Amino acid sequence: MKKLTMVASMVLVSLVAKSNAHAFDGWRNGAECQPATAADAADLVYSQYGVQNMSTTTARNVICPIPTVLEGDVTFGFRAYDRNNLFVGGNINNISCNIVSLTLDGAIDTSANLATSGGGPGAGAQEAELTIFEMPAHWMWQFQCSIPKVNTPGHFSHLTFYWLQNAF
Amino acid sequence: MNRVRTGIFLLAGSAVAIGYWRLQTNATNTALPTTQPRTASAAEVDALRVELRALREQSSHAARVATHAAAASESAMTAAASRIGKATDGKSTVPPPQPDDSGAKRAEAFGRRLSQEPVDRAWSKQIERSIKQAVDEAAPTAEVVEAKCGSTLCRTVLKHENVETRRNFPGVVADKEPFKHGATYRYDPDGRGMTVYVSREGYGFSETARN
Repeated sequence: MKKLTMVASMVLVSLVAKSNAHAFDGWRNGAECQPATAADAADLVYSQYGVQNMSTTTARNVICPIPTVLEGDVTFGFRAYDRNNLFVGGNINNISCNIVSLTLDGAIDTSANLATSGGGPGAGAQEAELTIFEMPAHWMWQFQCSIPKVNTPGHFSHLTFYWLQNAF
Repeated sequence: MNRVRTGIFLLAGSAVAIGYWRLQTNATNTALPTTQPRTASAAEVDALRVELRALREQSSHAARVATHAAAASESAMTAAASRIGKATDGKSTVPPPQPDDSGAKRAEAFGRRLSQEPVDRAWSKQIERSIKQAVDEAAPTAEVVEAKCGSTLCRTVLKHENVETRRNFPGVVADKEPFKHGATYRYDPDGRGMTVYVSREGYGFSETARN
């Protein structure tokens, strides 16, 4: 009986997979992100928890790859631990990511932003997500993220995962 | 009771397996016709139609991806060739910069969309103000030549001080209202001008108006 159930499930799954061949679901660890500059690299630490900023003086930036063609309605998101609760210019420091598509020259073609809110020492995970609708097919995408500095010793902000979903 | 349930499940499983097997058989028969004459049933014809549609969709997707890959590869080769002062055919020449035609067409389409959509007065006034404020704060040397909104889309025409301030602009306003909800950029060939289309939150970059 169990074997039969397994066989039937496999057949059904393969049929469903065939009919949804254009969907793309991607999860990536923050450890795949690159430092935006050499100065950023000096303060970034990579582990299975993603990428964290160890600097006690400045936010650090990372660039995260999205190696696929995206088109139509594209949902981007990330999961992060925002341990900074300092206010700068009336705004609290957050983990902020720009999702950008680039021209062949590297200029920004399209951008949108998503960010954590609040946060502070010991704060739990936050997830931010947004959808860009009706995009023409585009080939070069990046996630560009800013991770705030440490404002309480031992409480590092880190980007653990980022993801995208696209069905076209 | 258990026997009846097992029987029903066996029947359902067999039906699914037979359906799948027939789909596969149809595909094989289409590619390699047998020497025996076959009479296609209506169900077989329907199954073949479904499969053909799926294959067409896959092939059009593959073609789109291939076009992008070819464009990216050609551009990379041209760029590499221009860096070493040689064209890809081996002659010593530096190709002139090519205008980004797809960007121009897209900007035209957004212009049409903006002119066709009704104006949401309250929203458009608020966003036009917000655009000017964001530019003043993030890029004080930039001049806002135009800020015009409809009901789901705004157009902002900017004149920057130089190429570098223009290049940095998208990054410095990306997390500011209203740019944070989605902005797409068109760069003028003069090196200073820029047109930005900003999408209303929850709307996107369709090239046609919604009425």
